[in-house]
Amino acid sequence: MPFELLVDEAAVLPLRAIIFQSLLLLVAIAIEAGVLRRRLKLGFQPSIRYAASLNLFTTVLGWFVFLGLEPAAPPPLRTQIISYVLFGQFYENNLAGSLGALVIATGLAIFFLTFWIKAKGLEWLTLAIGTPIVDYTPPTLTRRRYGYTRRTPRDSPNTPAHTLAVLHANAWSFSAILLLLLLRYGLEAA
Amino acid sequence: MIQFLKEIWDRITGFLFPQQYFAWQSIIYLALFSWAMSWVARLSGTTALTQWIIITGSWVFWVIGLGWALEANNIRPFGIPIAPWVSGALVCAYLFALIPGNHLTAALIVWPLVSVGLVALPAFISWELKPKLPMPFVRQQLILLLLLALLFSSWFQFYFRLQTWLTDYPTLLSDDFNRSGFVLKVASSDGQSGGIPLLTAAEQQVKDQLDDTPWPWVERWLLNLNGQMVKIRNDTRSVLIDSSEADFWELTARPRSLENGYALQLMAVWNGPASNPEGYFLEKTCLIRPRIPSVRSTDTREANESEPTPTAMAQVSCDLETPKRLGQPDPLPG
Repeated sequence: MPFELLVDEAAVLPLRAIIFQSLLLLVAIAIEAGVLRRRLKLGFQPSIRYAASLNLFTTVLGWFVFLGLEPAAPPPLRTQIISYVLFGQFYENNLAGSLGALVIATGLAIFFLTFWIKAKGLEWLTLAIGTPIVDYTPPTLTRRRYGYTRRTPRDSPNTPAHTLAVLHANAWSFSAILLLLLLRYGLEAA
Repeated sequence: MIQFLKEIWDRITGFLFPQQYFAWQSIIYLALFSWAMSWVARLSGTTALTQWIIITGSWVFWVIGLGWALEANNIRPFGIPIAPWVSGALVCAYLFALIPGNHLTAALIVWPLVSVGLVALPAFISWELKPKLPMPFVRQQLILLLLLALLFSSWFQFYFRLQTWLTDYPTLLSDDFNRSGFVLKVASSDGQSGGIPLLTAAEQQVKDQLDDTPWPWVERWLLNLNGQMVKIRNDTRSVLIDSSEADFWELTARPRSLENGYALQLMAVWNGPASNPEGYFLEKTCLIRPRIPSVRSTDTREANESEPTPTAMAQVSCDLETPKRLGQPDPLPG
């Protein structure tokens, strides 16, 4: 009976994860929308929609990676993940010593990975809704041949404006999330 | 009064019989009709294919009718348009009922995606059933909706992943999750710790080996306790053989001499994830006492007096409860 099954197994729900993730998403979307609006001169609504799409996109990708890789993880790592999810701490096994460095390295990797995904995602999103933020028309080759490349403003900036905007937005939202996480664990430890 | 009744009557008929045929009520009636027909078909013993066609028609009408009714009556709890979610749930219920077996997991995971698909369908297909590209604004809304649905689906998957962990390691359920940042235990249904059957099996082993044995044998057994525990560990391993948490349990024992006999503490130490950083162990105390076999009744007394005093036999009795102690057991003395 599916109904009994639900009642039996419903004893442990990921409610805290859902609530906290929603909260962090709202904070990140608000911050990133502000940054995108200022740097890209967008309206209120588009910037919020862009920020929401990008953050949801990276969150969903993160879930896919977690849900996909968790069953494949070696048993010591898997039990460390279980320990962290259920009890909020790692426990003593042969991986415990290297976990701190691992967490920091993962955090850094995630930052740059989400930055890259968000920059690409913004390009795809704007392309999909018909207002591309980057010019996809192939550059004219005749000018390049005569060395005018440097003078044309379209080719010259080494970093596109939207990439910089996404980098800033990502840095701000990650700082805010880190602060919130520290506050949370600080409060719980106190 | 009559005016009032008439008004109610008008409202009911207006609700049940709409002004035009192209209304959600018609679809609901079609759904009810085909549902009734499916019963007629089933009772009159038609082929499975006929029943299937009628039932499928009924489901399709239910999906469209209910979605339309919710949308037309503007039923939006907390401002959320629930029509696509209800229709999506119906579609999932139908699709996964076709496949025999229990597919609640898959159905719940797919449900948000099916709902978004139902919303997206009219945007991508025109009334003439030709594919079309929706307006840019609609495209942006659909992208957001799809991402949200994927997030909901991930949450469902995470929930089911949690259940997998708890069935893999049932002992975890007996711990408390107050310090978790992810999960909340809603019902206080403490799962049974895997250590309890382990201790029961160990108790049985000890009783089998020591109960009703001569007392000197018991003392020799206790002297070689470490060697005996290796054997007991191997024998009790079958209790946990199907469970992935077998590696986390460690069985130890410690004797303590009393003024009359011994107390043997059997301990199942949990080396897996636990809310207490130091871990914990379950403990079962068994009392081993010597017992002089009772001398039989009066007629044999004279015969017994000539014999040497009978050797004491051991009697093992174990506590029922297995208290949980935090930390690790103290190292064995000596």
